[in-house]
Amino acid sequence: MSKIDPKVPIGLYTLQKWFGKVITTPIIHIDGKGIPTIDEEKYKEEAKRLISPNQFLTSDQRIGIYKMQYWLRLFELLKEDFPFVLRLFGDELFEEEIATPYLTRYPSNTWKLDSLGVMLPEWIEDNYQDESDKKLVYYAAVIDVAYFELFFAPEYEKISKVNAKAKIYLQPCIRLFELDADLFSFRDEFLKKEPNYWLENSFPELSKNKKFYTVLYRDYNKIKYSKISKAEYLLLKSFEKGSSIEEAFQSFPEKLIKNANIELWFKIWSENNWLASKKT
Amino acid sequence: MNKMMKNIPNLGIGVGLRPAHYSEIFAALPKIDWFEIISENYMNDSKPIQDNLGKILDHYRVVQHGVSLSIGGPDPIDFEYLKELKKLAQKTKTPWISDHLCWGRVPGSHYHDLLPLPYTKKTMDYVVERAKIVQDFLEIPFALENVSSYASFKEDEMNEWDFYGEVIEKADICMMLDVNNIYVSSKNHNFDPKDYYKNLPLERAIQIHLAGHSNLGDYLIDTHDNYVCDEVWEIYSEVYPLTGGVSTLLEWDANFISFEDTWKEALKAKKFQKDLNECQK
Repeated sequence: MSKIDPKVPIGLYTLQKWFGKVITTPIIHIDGKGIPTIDEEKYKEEAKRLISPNQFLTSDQRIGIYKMQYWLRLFELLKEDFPFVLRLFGDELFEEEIATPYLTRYPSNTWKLDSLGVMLPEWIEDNYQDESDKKLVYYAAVIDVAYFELFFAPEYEKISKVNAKAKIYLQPCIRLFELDADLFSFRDEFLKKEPNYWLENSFPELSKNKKFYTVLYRDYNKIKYSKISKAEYLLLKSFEKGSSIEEAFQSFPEKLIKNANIELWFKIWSENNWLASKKT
Repeated sequence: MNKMMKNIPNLGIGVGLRPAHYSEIFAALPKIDWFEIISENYMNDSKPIQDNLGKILDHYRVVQHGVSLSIGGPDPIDFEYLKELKKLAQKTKTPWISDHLCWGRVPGSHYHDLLPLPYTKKTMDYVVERAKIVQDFLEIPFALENVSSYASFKEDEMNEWDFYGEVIEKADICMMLDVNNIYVSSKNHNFDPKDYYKNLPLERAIQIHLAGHSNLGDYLIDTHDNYVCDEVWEIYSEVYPLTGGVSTLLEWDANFISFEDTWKEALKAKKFQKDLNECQK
């Protein structure tokens, strides 16, 4: 059992646990007043016992308002964090097939809202049933998570001078992707339209049949991406856990960098602040 | 009374700072008295967020208002949260910190809402004890705000205003009075707003919140997405002189209008402050 304040009146704690269970029960029906119904007989009876009705609303309608507020607020937050996934489903299906079961499995347990959706890719991997588009939905979630995580990621000290022997790290506000389809351009097209537009229109064209290497990065307060070559991807990847330039090249396939302008790469990476000299 | 309450300034009229208005604010640097920030939105290491806050602090007075304290919640006081809150306060130099008289989580679950407390003696004693701890820890004036509510409990032993007023006095803390919440709750619980504010220790009020709400016929919801209605302005005009004149702030959180229009709406408060000004003359 999780810790509680030793001084909390037991009656208050019991009431709060009950209240929490009622409002986090998924919405199934909405009544004529726009309030989600309390469908479980047990909760309905308890509501009658615990909540005062008023001249317009019954006891369960009054707690139903809190249930509505709880779900609407969290739906809104997830929709904001997952614009790509949202557009694959449209508003209603996103709420029913993604947000409701996800939030039931992973309810928020912290005041920090930026962590609300971080488990969505894992949830999709474990629970999403439609194999025909599962991979697309999964990667859409992975990319959406990367966008909001990069916004909140810290930034390490910038490299001032490139030294072949010094350890270099990829900034935490940088993420590398190796994908079987051009999902970043695909996402851009999706985001140009409102979420429900794609319910009645064909999806944009998705380029596939080759590998797409992309770096997602933070530029001041915007998250941007650049398409990069496989060699750039592998070289940047070697700095994820920290490596000197010398070490990075020791295990690097020579043919990939035969004609590459590596000096220019490092110049661009340093200018864009993708590399850091220290981890803290 | 709490010694810290003696030198609390009246900052004038302010607006809740929201990212939707950043570009307008940074471009024009409008002359406004002060901004209120939602503390939790800035309690992180995100460079873009901290940079934006830094730009605001370069030009404006900022006051912190929180939504996650859960003063009436059953879990132990979250000192890690309070440490972060205090760290932010050192940066913003906020003259006070406020949060809500409510609960929002149980161990293991956070509901991201301002949930109602039963108005009982036992609950009051519990909240008072915790509010004193928070006040001691923060070391700057701490205020609790009345919330809008949609349900009340059969076990209630007193009115909301008696509960609220006594918590504030017994904990020896400050009052952040939301006049829109008084109106919303008065409709949802069928009481006269006058009974509410005339029975509060308004000498402890350090700030007033104004906002719009949604009228859904049989009930009102505190949505902060609309203009302040006439009835709320009327309550404000009566409450403001009773407080002796305190900082006033407009909250607008959804269906945003331009910053210029938001500020115009906030400035309407001046018109309703005339009673106090006339008294002082």
